[in-house]
Amino acid sequence: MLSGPFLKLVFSPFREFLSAWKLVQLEANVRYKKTNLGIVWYLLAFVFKVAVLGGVYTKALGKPPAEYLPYLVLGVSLWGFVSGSIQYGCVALINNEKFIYFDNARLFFFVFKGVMREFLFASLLMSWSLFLTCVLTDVAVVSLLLFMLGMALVFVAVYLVACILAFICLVRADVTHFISSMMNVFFIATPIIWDSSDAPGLQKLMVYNPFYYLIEVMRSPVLGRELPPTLYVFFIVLIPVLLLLLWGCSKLVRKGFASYV
Amino acid sequence: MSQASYGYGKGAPVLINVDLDIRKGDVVVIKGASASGKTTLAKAIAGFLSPDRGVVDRCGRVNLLVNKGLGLKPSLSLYDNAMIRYLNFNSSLSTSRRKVRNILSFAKLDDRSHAALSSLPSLLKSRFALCLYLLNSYGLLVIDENIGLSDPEFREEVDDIVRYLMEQSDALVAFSRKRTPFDAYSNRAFTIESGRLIAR
Repeated sequence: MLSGPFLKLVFSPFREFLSAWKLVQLEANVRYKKTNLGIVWYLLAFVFKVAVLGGVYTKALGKPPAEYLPYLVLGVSLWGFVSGSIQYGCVALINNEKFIYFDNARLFFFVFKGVMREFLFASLLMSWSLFLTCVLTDVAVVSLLLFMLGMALVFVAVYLVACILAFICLVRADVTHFISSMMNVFFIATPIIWDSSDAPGLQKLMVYNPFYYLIEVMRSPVLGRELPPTLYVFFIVLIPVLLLLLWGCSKLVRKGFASYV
Repeated sequence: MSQASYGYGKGAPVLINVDLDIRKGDVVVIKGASASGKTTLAKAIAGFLSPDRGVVDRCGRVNLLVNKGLGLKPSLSLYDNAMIRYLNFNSSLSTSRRKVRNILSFAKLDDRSHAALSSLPSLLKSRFALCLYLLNSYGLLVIDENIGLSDPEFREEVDDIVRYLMEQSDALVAFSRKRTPFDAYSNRAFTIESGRLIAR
């Protein structure tokens, strides 16, 4: 089932990390071509969002800004990566149809490329968020290492989810819209703007929210918070399950790709 | 491909009882009018469609060219566009720059390498797009469009490109409505009419 060649195919884009990074940089230039500020617009959009959310919620939740702002900026920047990658996954194969015709051995690379693009933008925000957090709070070196570990786990998990959705959305276009709606719902339902300690009644429900783990595995170490005991267990279970699902989904469409696009 | 029929969904079949055997070194030209089933056959050969009936055996890599302007971005420079094309299909970052410069030089466009693609006259855009084919090596190469160019200053190079594509691929199948530069080199020719493949 999960044979060596299949795993090799799924993870082969990771060996091309540097060229994928260069490629998404080149492609990202198109988005901000002819603007004076270039990619700074992306940072500004984030700053505006965080400024408004921070202003409103520090008042509404009565939180000290020095404690709440690092929580908020890390949460929003991580959510941008997770949500952007998952939504890109829904259109990855459809948008890259002609590239896939040209070389179908690189099917997974075209999903990887989109996840890398989201990672490129998110890494700008994350480095800015980390800088702000380091200025406002004390961050230990070990916390940064755990952050990196969390980032690697989230990257792999999000890439696999994007691959699965790429196949499913190719067959069922409705899923793209469903996922888009659900991402809006989960932005509210996941402790990104609000803290789970603000709503003790909801803490038990968080166990069932996969996005909670994806965010907290990176955010909690940096903020010096105790990591939920189930956090790494979640990833140990999640990644093999995602691989199995991906294997099943890829079997569904690989032979009849042209019928679906 | 033996007695293979293809269709999309529950509609009438687009290809009917197609027999086609392509071997290493073959240069096959298939001609047909619009809506005769050329693109469907190209996708079927490349393995992107499952036959409704019949048998298809395929071994090795297949590259299907359905769009000469694949991934080109008019606002980017020729150099960046060539880099994007290269990196989409090759993992080596270290050889990309050298290879892209060689291609631009071959296309006689090295003095314009930093000009935006949109600023080029259409003939030079076509020439640039054609030369990007040289960035890759191919298995069975299926070309679903006419890549013949009428660039008078580039006729010899077009011939070079055609020969390069044949040398760099295991076999080549070219689909077209009219004459193609591959006609002179083909060892087999077919026409396709209303989904039926007929040897010429």
